[in-house]
Amino acid sequence: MSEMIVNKLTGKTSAGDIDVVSEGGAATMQLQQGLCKAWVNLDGTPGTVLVRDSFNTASITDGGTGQYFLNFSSIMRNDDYAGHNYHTATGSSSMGAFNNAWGGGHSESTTQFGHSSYNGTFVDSDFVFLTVHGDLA
Amino acid sequence: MAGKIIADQIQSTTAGTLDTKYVVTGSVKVRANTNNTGTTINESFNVSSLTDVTTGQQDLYFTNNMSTTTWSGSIDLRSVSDDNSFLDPISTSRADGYSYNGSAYHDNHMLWMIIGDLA
Repeated sequence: MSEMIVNKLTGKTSAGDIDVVSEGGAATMQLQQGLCKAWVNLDGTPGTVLVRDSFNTASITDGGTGQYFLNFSSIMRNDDYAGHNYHTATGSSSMGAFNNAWGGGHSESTTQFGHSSYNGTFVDSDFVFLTVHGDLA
Repeated sequence: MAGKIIADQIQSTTAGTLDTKYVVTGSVKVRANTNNTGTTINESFNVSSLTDVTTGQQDLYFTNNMSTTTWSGSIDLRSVSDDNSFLDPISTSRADGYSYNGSAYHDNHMLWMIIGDLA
């Protein structure tokens, strides 16, 4: 088995473009494009908003009940990234009929997200998961 | 000519060792931010085109196909609480966007993420 020991990968022809061969071998894809650019697992319990684990996350700001702002460490290139978030029911690990929401506070440096019940009311959650995919600056 | 390295592992002195299979298999294969009204693609990767089917429903076509129909993915709408659904052939994905009250909903930013094996 071969092993590369490196701290940084840089494309030769174009610094931001490293291709990898697909699983089936029929295509190549750009490595950078497929990488998750930020993720977080946080406790959104009222008064807590504790980050359990994260990547490329400078801080989380409590935006009110069931609403949060993630501030990126390294900013995105624009605000057209694709993000996804899920969460458990309030105050427990049980399944709940809740929805995910994205707020209007999207920029290269910050993204706003939240959760509501089926009546549209925002609710806090003790397990909140978020991923962001897009281009870094 | 571009360089080519064939390796089974990569190791960082600060972040540990990772088998390269996780880089290939664990990377997102399709992502997009689309205007759910019409066929405008705000930003995308491995997307050839977008079709507007009906209110809240779009088909996203892949440039490079997936190897099977058993890929995983997620969609979200940016501006409302939402409840969404997927269809999953190897060459395209159909997504339906719904508001929290169950009605089909057009959103200016439908957010797509698909992960699985490419052909």
